[in-house]
Amino acid sequence: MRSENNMSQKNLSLSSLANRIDLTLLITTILLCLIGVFMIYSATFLDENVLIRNLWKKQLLFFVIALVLISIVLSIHYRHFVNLSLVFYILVLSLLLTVYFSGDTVYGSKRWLSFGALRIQPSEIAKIVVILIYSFFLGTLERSNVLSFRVIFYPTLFLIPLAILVYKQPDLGTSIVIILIAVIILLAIGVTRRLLFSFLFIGCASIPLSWNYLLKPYQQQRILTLLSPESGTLGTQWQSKQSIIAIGSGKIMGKGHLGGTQSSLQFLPEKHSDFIFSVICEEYGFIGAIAILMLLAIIVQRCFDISMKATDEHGKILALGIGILFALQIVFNIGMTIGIFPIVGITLPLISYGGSSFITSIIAIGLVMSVDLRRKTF
Amino acid sequence: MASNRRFYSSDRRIKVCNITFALIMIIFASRLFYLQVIKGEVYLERSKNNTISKQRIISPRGLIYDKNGYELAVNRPSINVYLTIEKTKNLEKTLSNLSSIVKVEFKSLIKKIKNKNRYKPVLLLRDINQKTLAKVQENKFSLRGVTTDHVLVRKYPFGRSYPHLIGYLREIDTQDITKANKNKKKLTNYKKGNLIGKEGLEKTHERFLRGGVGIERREVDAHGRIKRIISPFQQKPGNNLHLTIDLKLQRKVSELFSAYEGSIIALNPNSGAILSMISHPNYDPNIFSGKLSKKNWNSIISNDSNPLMNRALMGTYPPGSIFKSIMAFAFLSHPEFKEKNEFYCNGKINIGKRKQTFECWKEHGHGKMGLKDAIAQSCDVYFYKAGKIMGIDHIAKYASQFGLGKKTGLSKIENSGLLPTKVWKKKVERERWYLGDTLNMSIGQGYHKMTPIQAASFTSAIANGGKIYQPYIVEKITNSSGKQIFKQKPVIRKRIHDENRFLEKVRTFLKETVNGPKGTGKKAKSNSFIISGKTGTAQVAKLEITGRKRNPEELAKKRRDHSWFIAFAPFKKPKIALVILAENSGLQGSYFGSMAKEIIEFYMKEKRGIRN
Repeated sequence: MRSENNMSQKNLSLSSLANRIDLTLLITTILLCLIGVFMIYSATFLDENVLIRNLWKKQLLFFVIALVLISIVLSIHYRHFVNLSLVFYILVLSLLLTVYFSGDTVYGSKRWLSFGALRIQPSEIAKIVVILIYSFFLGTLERSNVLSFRVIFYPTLFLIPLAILVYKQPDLGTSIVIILIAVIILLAIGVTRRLLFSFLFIGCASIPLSWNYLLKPYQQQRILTLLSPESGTLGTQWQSKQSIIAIGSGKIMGKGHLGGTQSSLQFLPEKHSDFIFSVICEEYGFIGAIAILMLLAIIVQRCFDISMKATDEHGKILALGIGILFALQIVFNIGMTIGIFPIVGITLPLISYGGSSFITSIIAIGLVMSVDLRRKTF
Repeated sequence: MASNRRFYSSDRRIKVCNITFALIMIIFASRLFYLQVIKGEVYLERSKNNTISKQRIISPRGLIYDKNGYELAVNRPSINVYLTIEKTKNLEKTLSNLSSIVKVEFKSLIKKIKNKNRYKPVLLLRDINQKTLAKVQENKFSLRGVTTDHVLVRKYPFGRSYPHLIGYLREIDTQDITKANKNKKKLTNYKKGNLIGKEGLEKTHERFLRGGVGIERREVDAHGRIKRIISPFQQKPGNNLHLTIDLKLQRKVSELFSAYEGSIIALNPNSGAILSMISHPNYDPNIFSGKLSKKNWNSIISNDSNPLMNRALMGTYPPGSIFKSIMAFAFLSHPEFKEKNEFYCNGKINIGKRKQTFECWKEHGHGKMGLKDAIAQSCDVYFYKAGKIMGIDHIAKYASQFGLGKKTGLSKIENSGLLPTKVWKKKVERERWYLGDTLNMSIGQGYHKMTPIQAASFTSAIANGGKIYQPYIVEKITNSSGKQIFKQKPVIRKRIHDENRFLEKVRTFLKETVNGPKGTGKKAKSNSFIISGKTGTAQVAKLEITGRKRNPEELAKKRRDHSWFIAFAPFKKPKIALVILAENSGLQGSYFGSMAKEIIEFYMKEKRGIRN
């Protein structure tokens, strides 16, 4: 039996770390990552492009890197990350600016930056930096100040350039996620009703404005496709329709491993990233789909739970923000594949292929585990 | 837990978040239940019956025509054999059956299907003939999974007479694409195995000739039959090139020259339009279409004479005596010409302290002569002396007026030759310019290098009275519906300054060369109209080494003389300018006079024939 004091001095020995780690969260994460690698293989093994056929190997490598990353993030106190949030912010802002002026164009969008063989997507990193910024600003405030408009103003000031730069890429989905993370954090930590309503009001008022001035024609098209399937262009309509056919055709038990990819999904360019859930549904049916939903729900639920139990405000907001991030990504991605939301380029966290989004999700998991681990050491 | 109290309100809201998320998940789950459990059978049926296949389609390549509408490059249907691994029952057996039917080694077939997508047809054999096709179709039942398909391949109807002009197509490989991308020439829309122009117009006009590329989405049923085309691709055939080339003349020229290596260029001196351009040794570009046998390829690659090289544009040779026509113009323009324009030729000239000897081709000399006779009889000593008076700077100035040392602008793939100057020698040879260099230069020897197209360009400038046209081959480009999208107008790159009409004199000198009693170009004399011209014999090996009494048999082939013949006709209103270069023929330039005459007469007769 060690005293709390003693533990904080020793800064957590390895054995105690293993004992106090949130095993549910860790095992669920690892499970989802491995399912992801497996499904990426299944989605791409027939592709004519060797590079795409080999993506699962790359993802497997990312998984190994992820394990190392989790231990590194865990061994550092999350407070250091929060305190350094402004440094991270400047870093990600300059990366986004570089993308804006000289990024690689893929499918008509500028989202990537190349450093030799390494290609990163700064908008993914931006998501987590926003959470750190909010944790930094809101965590140090006195309770009474949390409610004031002025306080909300500062982090929002930091948020806006990121959201605009991501939107300009153009990546509507990610910029919405970034803004929603901020809004929901504010709502969740207790802004007043008055503020809440003004938020709602501004939100409603901005819909027609943003439709006309912010959305690109293809983005409008995607939303229209959803509202009335007949009006969509062939491209997005087909993506949505074929995704639904693939999902439905999986029935209860699915077509079995590697059984689905050659029939309905071969048209989807993003089947290994954005539409990975369709592949899962086709091959493992309703049972598989529900299992994945439950695993993902465990992740989100753990994040919120750890947030509620957190003994320090920084950690609380950090875990909360990450929970919101996962929840939003899951809702957007699955909603898109099952035809409830418009098609926006949002990945399914931990499962979809994609180095930057995968690594970001892993760091997020590491941070949440870190918050949980250091709960009682204060 | 005391500090936790402060967050009571926010904890409640986090719970709200959690519940909201859980509710959305339940909505998703019910949607999945609806899609997969309730409507599952419907969607399964749809996924079975409707398979989308994406077909990448490349529209037919544009055609190439000569000036009279004869086809130079067309597309012909050919039959390829494919195999879909998934559809075979016994892969090895199918392949061995096929190998015995089409008589292709089993091993090479196995090699082709290695690491290939088993659901997609893999190309096994290219361009099989009708007989093989019939055999494959007869044995359909022992060849499950084997399919045939028609594709278009390039055909060059009289390919052997214009391979360097048109070039040929080859399959692009991954290396080509990465290489092109490195050079910032993005080869978008090209995939491994696609055809791309190599050499000639197929290469330089690739972006005009290539047909549009598109993707057609088709709904295919379980048997692979097309049920419906979802997004059809409107074929966009490539643009057609209409050339200035006269196929009949081209074939005639190629035939006449078949025994020699080198190049012949005929062009219209009033526009720069190229009527005929050949380079020998040649090859048949058709062997690159369809299957290319190793034997054919080796015969081209291992040939020391490099048949792939277009000598008309890329070959550089000392101009020899044809340069004297430019020398004559330079000398006429020189201030000292009026006082001193007659020299005595006794067969040689000694210069410098060491009494270096420069010889005339005629051993005992031409005697006293003026410029006209010096050209007609191609006297070397006369031009040594004239060159000595003028000096290199004066000569180089006038030679560059005729476009020497610069690309003519016909093609990007062109050699600029070499017009030596004092500055050049200092920079490249790190040596000063000697008088001997000037004398060598005066008779077109020494460092001087010229491409046949440059010779053709200056010949036509003499013929037309001083206009240097940019030579061209593509007269116009039309799109697949016949609309003209490009039309080449004659471009005058330069005008030779000729206030005193000295070029007219040069023209009469060249007339004398062919028609005069002692002219070296006598063999070109025609009874129908006046042909003017100049011979040239360019020495490859230096005079000092080989001596005068050279025996062509003794010299290695590569050291034999080049023969030149430049000509234009008719004298008053020239319609054709001609350059013949026979590489290492070991013959005097005058030998090719008769060939020049035959070519020019053929062209003039054909022209008249068309008019009548």
